[in-house]
Amino acid sequence: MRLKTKKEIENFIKKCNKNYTEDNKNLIFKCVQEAKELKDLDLEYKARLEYVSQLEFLGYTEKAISIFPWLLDCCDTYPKRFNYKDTLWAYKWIVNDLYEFSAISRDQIETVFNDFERRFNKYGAGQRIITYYKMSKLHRMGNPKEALLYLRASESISEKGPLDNCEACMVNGTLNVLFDMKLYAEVLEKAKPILDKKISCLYVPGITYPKIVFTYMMLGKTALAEKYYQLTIKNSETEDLSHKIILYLSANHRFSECFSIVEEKLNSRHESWDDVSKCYFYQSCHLFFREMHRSGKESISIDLSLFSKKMMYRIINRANTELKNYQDGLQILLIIMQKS
Amino acid sequence: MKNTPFLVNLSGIIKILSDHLYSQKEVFIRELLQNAIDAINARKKTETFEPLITIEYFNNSDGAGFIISDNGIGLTARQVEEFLAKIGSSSKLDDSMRNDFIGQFGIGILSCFMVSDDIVLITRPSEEDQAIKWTGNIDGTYVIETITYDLTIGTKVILKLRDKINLNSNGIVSSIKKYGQYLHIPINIEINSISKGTINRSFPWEENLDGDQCLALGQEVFDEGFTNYILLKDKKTNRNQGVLYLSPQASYLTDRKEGYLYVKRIFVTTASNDILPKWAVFVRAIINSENISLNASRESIYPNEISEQLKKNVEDSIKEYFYQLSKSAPSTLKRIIQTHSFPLKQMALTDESFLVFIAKWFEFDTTYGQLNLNEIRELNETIFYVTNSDEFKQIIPIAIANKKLVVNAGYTFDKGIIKKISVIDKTRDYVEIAANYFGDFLGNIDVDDHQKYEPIINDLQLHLDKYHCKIKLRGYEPESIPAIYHASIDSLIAEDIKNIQKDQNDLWKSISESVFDPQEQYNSHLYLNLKNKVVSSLLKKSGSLNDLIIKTLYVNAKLLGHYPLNNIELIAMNDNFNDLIQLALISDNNETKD
Repeated sequence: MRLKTKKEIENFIKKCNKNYTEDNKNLIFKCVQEAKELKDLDLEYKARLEYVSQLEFLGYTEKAISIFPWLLDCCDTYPKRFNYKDTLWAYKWIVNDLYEFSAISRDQIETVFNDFERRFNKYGAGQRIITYYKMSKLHRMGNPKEALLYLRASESISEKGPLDNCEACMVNGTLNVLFDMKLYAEVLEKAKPILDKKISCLYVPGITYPKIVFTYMMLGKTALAEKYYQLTIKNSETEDLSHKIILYLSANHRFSECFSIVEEKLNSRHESWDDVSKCYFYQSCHLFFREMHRSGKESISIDLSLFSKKMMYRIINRANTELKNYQDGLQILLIIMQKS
Repeated sequence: MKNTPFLVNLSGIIKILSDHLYSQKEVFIRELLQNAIDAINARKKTETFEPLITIEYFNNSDGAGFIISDNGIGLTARQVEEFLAKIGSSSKLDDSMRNDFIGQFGIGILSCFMVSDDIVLITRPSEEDQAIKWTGNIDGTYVIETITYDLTIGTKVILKLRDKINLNSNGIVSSIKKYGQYLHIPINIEINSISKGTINRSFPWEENLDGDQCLALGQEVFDEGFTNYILLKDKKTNRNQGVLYLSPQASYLTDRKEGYLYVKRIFVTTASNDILPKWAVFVRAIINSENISLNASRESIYPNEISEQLKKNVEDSIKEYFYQLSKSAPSTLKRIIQTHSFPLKQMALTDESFLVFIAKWFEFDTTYGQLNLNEIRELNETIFYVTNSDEFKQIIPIAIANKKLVVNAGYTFDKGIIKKISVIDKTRDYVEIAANYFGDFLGNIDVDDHQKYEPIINDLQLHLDKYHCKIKLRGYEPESIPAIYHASIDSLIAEDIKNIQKDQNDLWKSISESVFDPQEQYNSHLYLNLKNKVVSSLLKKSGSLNDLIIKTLYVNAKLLGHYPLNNIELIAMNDNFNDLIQLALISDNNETKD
C-alpha cells in the first residue's frame, strides 16, 4: 500500500476510522512518519490522533498515554487550528488509562484530572460528563462510597453535553460502582435497557454481560448467571474478558473448560497488558488453582510450548515483587511452570 | 371494544411515496413499461398476437407529456377499480401469477406523480367492447368513465408533465433504451410525432455472438476495451444468465464495481455491490435474473438466499474460467492474475482449494526480483519472508550479497497468503524473519574474533550511547559495506515517543516515562562488517579518531537505510564532515611540507 502523498495518507486515515487492527496500527504509524517527512503538521495531527485511537483500542495503552500529550500540545500551541473536540474525546480514554498503571502515582492522576476537568469546563462539555468521570476516578482509585455520591449527582443532571459518552456506555460505566456497593437489584434495574437492547453500542452490551453474571451470582441466581455467562462468551471478541470467564468457571468448579483458557492465555501475548489486566489475570489464575487444589487436585500439566522463557522469568519476577497478595495461587502456578 | 381504522392523508401519502420511494424521476418510464409487459404477457396466455409498445413524447403549446401504449390484456372496470384506486393492490399479488410478472406491489403507478399531477389511463380488455377511462389526481381523487371513442385492445397511459419537469429528447430515448432494450417486445419511440425507431435487442448470450462481437458489445456498454469475458453459469437454478467482462486495467479494492442488473429483462440497477462479490472489482457484469427479489422501489435487490446464490454463481463462473485458462491459455491467466492480484488474493484467502490452485501464479517481490510461488519453492527448501515492506528494503542488499532469497510479504494480503500456504505446503519450511532477529541474518563471526574485538567494541559503544544504538559485530557480504543500521518499527516508535517525552512538561514526561521506557525496551543496531577494510582497521586499536569514524559510519549507515536523521544526528553529521575536511587539509599540508 502506497502511503506517500497527503491524499493517500488522508484516505487511509479515514479508512482506519473505528477499524482497529494490528496492520492498520502499524500503517498509521507509517503515516505519522511520512507526515513528518512532508513537514505537514495538520496531517501529522490527524495521523497521530488516529494512531492514539488504534493504540487505545488494541490495548497498547502505555504508548497511547505517551503520545497523547503531543496532541494536547498542538491544540494549545495553535488554538482553533486542530480538532480540539476530538482531542478532548481522546483525553477521556487517557484519563481512564492512568488508573491501570501502578507506576503512576495518585498525585499525578489528580493533577492530570484537574487539567482534564479545567479543559472540559472551558470547552463547555457540561457537568454531566465531568461528574461521571469524577465518579469513575473515585471508583477506580478505591473509593466506591464517594463514587456513588457522584453517580447520584451525575444522574440528576439531565442536560447533555457535546462530549458525553453514548448512553449505553454511560449506563454501563455506573454498574461497577453499584456492584461494589452491593446494590445488586439496582445493577439489574439500571442494566435493563442494555439487556433489552434498547440502548447499545459497539462494546455494550458485550462488556455489560459479565457484570450481570457476577450480580446474579451474588444474588444466588445461578441459572440467570449461566444465561449471561453464555452471552459473555458469545460477545467476548470485542474485549478480553478472560479473567472474568476464568473467575466464573473456577467458582463453579468447571475446571476443564477453565483450564484451556488459562493455558491459552499463558501462551499468548502479555507484553502490552497494563498492570490491572495482569493483576486481574493472575488473581483469576489464583482462584482457579486454589479451587482446583481444594477440590483434591494435587497436580496438573500445562503445555507451555509457546510460552517464552523471557515471559516466564518476568512472571516469576512480578510474582516476587508486585503481586504479593496473590502469592499462594501463584506459588502453585509457578511450581507447575517450573516443572514444565 | 371497537376497532377504529387509521385516518390516512391520501394526497400526502401519494406525494411521500412518489417523491421518496424512487431515486430518479425517469423511473416512471420503467414502471409503465413494466405494467405494459405484464399486460402483454397476460394476453399471450390467452391468444396469439404481435405484441407492441409505443412511447410518444410531445412538447407543444399545451405543454409536454407522454403517451405510453401497449396492446396487452387491458383492464376491466372492476380491475381498474380494484387495482388503480387502491394503493398496494396489484393484479400480480395472486401467488399463482406472482412469478410471471415483474411488478408486485401495486404502487408503481405512483411514480407517475413524480412528474405529473394527473394520470389518465384508457384501457380496453380483449373480451369487452367498451373502454374505461380512469383519471387519477395527485390530491388522491379519481374519476372512472366508460368511453366509446378509443377502442383499441390494450392500455394507454397519458401523462402531462408539470411545468418544472425538463426532459430532453435524447435523454428520453436513452432512458427508454436503458430500461427496455432487452424486453424482447418491440418498443416504438416517437418524439413530437417523429419516429425515433424501434428498440428491441437480445442479451449478448442469446445472440450466438462470436468472441470479438461479444467483446465489442462490452466496450459499447462499459466504454472499456476488453480482452476476456466469461459467460455466467447458474447450474443450480438456471434462472440467472449473464456475461462478465474482465477489466484490462489493474484494479484495487477501493475501485468501483460496475454492472447492469436486469430482472425479468427490465433494467433495475447498476449498484453492483448487490450482484457481485466484494472482491470482484475487476468484473463488469451484465446479468439478467429471473428469480431475484427486489425491494418496493425495484431499484435494488432484496438481500436473501437468492441474491447470495447469484453472487456465488459469479464467483464460481470466474473460478471455473480460471481453471480452464490454466490448461488452455496459461499465459493469459498469468496476465489476468498479475493485473488483478489484489482482489484475487483477497478472494483466495477465503477459499483454500482456490488458494492452492491460484497461489502458484501469484507473484511476490523477492530479493531475486519478481517470482511466483512455484519459482520460489523451486529455489529454496526454506522460504524466508518479511512482513514489512520497509524492512524488506533494508534486507535486499544483505540478502543478495549473502545469496539468500527473501520474500516481501509486506503488501496487503501477501502475509495472509504466505501464512496460509505455510500451513498447506508441508514440503517447504516458511520462516518469518522477525525484525528483532534481523542481525541473525548477517554472517556471524567466530568466538575468537568476538573476544578479541570486545574491548574496542565496548569503547566504540560509548560514542553511540547517546543515539541509543547498540553496536554488533558481524562479517557479511558485500565487503564494501562497512556498516548496516537497522531499526525495527518498535525502535522507530520508541524513538518517536522519546522525542515526544523530551518536549513534554514534567507531569506528562514523568507519567510517560513511568509506563513506557523506550531505552529499556528497544534499541536500534549498527552492524559493523568485519570483512570491510575500514572496519577492520578501526578495530585494530583505540585511537583519537574512533569517535569521528564510528559516528560517521553510524550516520552514513542510517542515511543508506533511508532512515530520517534527528537534530542531534544532523549536528553530528555536520561536525563529522568538518572534521574530515580539516583532517584532509592537515594531511595535505603535511604532505606539501614534506
